[in-house]
Amino acid sequence: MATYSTNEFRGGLKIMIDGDPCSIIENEFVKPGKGQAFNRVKIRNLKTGRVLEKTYKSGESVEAADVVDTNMQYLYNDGDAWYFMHPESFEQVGADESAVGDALQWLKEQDMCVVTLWNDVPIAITPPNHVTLTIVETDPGVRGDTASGGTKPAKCETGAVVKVPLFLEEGDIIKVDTRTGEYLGRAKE
Amino acid sequence: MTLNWQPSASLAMLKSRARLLQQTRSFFYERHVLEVETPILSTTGSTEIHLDQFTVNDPVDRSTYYLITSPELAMKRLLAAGSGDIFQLTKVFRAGEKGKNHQPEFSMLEWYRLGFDLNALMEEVEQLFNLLLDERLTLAPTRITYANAFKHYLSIDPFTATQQELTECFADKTKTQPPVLDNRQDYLDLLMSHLIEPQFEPGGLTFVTHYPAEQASLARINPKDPRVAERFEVFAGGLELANGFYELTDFDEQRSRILVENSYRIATNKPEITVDKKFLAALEAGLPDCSGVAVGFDRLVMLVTGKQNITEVISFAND
Repeated sequence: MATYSTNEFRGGLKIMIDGDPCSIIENEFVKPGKGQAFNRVKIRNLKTGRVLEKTYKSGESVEAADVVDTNMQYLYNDGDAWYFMHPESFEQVGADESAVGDALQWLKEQDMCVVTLWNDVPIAITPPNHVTLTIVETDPGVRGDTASGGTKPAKCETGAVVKVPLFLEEGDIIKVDTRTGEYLGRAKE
Repeated sequence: MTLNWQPSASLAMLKSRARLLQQTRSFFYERHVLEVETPILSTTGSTEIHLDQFTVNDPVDRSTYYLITSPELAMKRLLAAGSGDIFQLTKVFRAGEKGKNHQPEFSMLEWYRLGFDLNALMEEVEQLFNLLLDERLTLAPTRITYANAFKHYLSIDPFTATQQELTECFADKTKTQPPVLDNRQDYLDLLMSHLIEPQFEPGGLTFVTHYPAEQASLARINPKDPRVAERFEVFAGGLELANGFYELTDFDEQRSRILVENSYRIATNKPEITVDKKFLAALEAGLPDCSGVAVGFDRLVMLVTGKQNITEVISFAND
């Protein structure tokens, strides 16, 4: 079992806490001049996404989490799992609903995503920062209105609902920032 | 590749630092406190259980030295030799200590006053800090006993609470389980450093007094209440600035504390320290009645210049 000592703690290090893989966001060394030393860390649970704090006794060993982020191509969904393929090894993995989480609404076949693997099993999917999607459902466009600044909801092919300018129509292709869900502009296929 | 060779502190910072060093020296020179220098390379070390020491090998004669964690023992030998009031600005070294308020090598201001009790020394600390910190302190200093700090901020009595109650208090306040620690005092350190100190007023000094006797270190035990030591600490907000003692002068008690600390080190797989027998001999010959205090000088500079990271006040910090 690989372990880390608290003096190796730094942002991005992956450790096991209460059976879950976690990533260190921030590490603070706390020590009274004459007293016991501690490492107070802020961590993100990679399975739930929750951020929490924990204190270790300095010098303590903590189990390392075998977590790697891999760029993989999204292939398809078979009803139970979402399949991703490594672009070089062609190795495929299936991610379940809890791993896909909020990424679901952005997943478009062929797109490259970051698949977080824990002991080779996907635990989280991060979609590309920018995706190009086709509008499949929205109110009819207001012709020529490119300046009023008004928006309307538009449903995209992946299921995401994005606020778009009034002049856009069904079938239009748009670019969206998946981190904020914001419309960035029109795109050409 | 360009290596970042630039200092970690700005040149303006180094000027502020120089001014503070000068003001500190003037403060003591005006009061006729003698400036001294004692070795930082020493064949003997400090047995304090929570201080890890660097050791240095002499490649020529193959002897081993310690880098001092504090100049205390040598300064007390000067006091026993009749130096009178003394102060020192020196580098000290503590292994494994690195963080926004810690560096493995840092500057310490330490001074001793003959015939001063803790109140007199706390007043002098206040005078020096007021001089150096100038307008940074907007609130009057407060004094609180260790027990009252626990009662006030955590509603728990540090002298009577069981280890179980201390861990439950931490779990209750932080909603996380505390780490497994070696003894009850370490849990008190956990609560003090995580839940009490951060609540001290940032605009003024907080003096914490009457530390538990188990945390006496080199301070005397209070003659009226053997549960507490004649020790104080000074904080600005949660930042620990200084630690002071009404100095233990009793040779037998000091020797037995050192022996206990070394056995504890052995029991917890820490290196046994070569004891400073000359320090004990000096104590046996007679240390005058005195109080002394050590100040983390870099942290004072941080406070004066409003910096949040110690590396910004040191010319070339360890990163």
